[in-house]
Amino acid sequence: MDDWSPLWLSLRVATLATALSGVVGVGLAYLLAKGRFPGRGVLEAILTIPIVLPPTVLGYYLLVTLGANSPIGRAWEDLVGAPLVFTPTAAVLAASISALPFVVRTGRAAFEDVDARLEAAIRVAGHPEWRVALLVTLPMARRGLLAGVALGFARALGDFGATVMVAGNIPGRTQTLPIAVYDAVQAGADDVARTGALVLAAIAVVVLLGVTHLSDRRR
Amino acid sequence: MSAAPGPGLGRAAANADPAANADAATLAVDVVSSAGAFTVAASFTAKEGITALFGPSGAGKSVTLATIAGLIRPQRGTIELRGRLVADAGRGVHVPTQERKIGMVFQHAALLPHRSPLDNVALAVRAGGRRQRRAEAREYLAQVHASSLADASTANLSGGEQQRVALARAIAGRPEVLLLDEPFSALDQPTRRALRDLVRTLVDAHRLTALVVTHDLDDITHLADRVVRFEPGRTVDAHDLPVPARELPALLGVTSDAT
Amino acid sequence: MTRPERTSGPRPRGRRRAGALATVVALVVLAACGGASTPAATSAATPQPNATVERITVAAASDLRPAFEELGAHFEAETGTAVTFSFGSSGQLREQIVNGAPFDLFASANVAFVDDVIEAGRGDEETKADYALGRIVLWASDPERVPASVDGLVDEQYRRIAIANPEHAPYGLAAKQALESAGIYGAVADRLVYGENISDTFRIAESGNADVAIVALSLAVADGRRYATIPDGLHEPLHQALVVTSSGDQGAAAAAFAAFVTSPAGRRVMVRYGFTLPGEPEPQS
Repeated sequence: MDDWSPLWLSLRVATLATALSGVVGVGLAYLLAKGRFPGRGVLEAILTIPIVLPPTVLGYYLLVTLGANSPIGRAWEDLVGAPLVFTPTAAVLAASISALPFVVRTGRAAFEDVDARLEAAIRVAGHPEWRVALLVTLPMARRGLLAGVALGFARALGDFGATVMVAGNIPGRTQTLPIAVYDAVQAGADDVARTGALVLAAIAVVVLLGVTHLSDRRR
Repeated sequence: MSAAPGPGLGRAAANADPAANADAATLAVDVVSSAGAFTVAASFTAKEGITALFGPSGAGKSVTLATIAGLIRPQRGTIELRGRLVADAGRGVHVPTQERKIGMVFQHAALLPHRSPLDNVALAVRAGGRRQRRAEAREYLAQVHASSLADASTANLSGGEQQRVALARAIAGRPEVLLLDEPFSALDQPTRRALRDLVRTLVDAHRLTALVVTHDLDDITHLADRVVRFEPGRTVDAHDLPVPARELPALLGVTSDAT
Repeated sequence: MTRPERTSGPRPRGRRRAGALATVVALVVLAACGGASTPAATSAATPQPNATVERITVAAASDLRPAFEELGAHFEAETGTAVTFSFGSSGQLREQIVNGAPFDLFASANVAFVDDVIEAGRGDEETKADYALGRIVLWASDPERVPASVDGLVDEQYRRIAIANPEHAPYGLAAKQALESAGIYGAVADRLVYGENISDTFRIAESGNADVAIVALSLAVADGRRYATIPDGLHEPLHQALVVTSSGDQGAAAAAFAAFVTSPAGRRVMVRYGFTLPGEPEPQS
């Protein structure tokens, strides 16, 4: 494999997507773990959709929602001067949405695992809810949150179906490594495909080993 | 679970409780409260000194304590703390936990494991800059004879040491009411004795109103000034202490086998 | 039962782990930022003095890959404009272009999709042109097993028959039409395996995961092994058309590439890869 740009593009896209889904996901996880509000069940269900839908279908709906014919797409184009879809930004969005459910589900479990009495003790000590979250909930949940983010990264890195639909298979711009591997398979370039697949698999194995390590440690 | 009778201060007054003098009472509880499927009706008063909440496991003592702390909202009834209404389910009054001047000690300390004992206590000091709060925290640690533990590793403290730090944290906020939920049940006998003495000292020194949830008879005989008796789902009566030892089992509704 | 006292404890191991992880993440981010961003499919040609456009992007049906990659290389050598290809199923590419995909040229395996793009206002009708008449053939990775005609597919030895997905791949639709015209669709329907696009279909057969496939003539020609042409009367004509989908300088460069494809020089390459127009000789197996 003599052109490694899909790998760098993939790492860039996956890192940005993980940052985005990490921040949003942890926030949503906290909301779901702690909040009691109407529509909570609906929110939970919506957040499961990216896992359940076939990725190309997810990508298609993203395309229709963000594309040149959509209000969001047009607004973006007016603002930025170029379409939102078929750009690395769109690849980041597709990967973020694919990764989000993993961050949220793992993060929520981590928040729910935090000993409620520790939180109660800090409340009793006089601290408002946001301080309770900062002093107790987040630090105590951090291992699980980290694991969720790591899983999200692996998912973002490996995304194909959604990315190829909404960002396209444009070499050098949006052709991430999974797409490049698929493209190589289509072209019969088996060596390239094999190398790319090995690299992806290696990254995934390393990340997931890290996740297991983080989750297994005794508190 | 017997049906919980409705709240009403009249019930408490009707009990044989001559010390329930409205002037002396610093805490008046008259609530129906629930956690999950479990409901408890609690009605009693407390004054300066140590009041034990005694009864079998699952009677509702901890739920009652959590309600007084504001961690649970009562379904019905009121709570008055030093004359101030902190909860009134009927009129939608609920002073948040943070604003009730209480201190709390749990069965398992509930210290933040990633902070030092000193930091844990300092977190409860209500006013002042960081340096001042840490200095005050040291004083409270001294009061519980745990000065040497200030910078220890919290997670590695023994049970007794953790409870000392928890006590220091509980009084660091200058509470009006001190709530202790089975604070000694995880400890061995010598440690329990030492901590009982410590609680006594602190309550007397700071003129606190303390509630101790327990099902340990030794706490009744060696610590409490009053006992409020719980049966599953409700409070039954209250008695001043001490009473002669032979009267105790009958008073508490326990057979001698159960002691 | 008291434990020995501890003075200031060691930093919890959790913090060291988090630090290590942060370092790894930082390294990955740095690697990502430092990575080159040169396009994958193009070579760096010396730009000609009169090349105003550096690069055009062409969305092309997957069966065009071998032919167009060669044409792209020629074009770049001649004009200095690099050509980047995005190969996929024509239906998917149509969907993307209609929703704003920034391709300069769309070469579809089916004229209907080109018409859709023009109707959606994304293609310049003036530039619409046929570049080939698609033909389907029977193909198998084991040359001995290629049936002489479509009727041969009813034979039980063909347990898995690969065709492109008729829903969005024109070659798949043509394959289905041929099976229906031959009256055998019902007999083989439960033995059909769908490829995402025609290249995918070819891979399925090539890897032995299907016993036989109906693929594009161009792919069979590129491969070199035996194939059996399916009479074009059995399916609706596969007019393969292209259209320019951008404007300005990019559009002009795309039109130049389209002109090159349909020029005599371009036609020679196309014929070699099995893409013929009516009147041109068909390549034989």
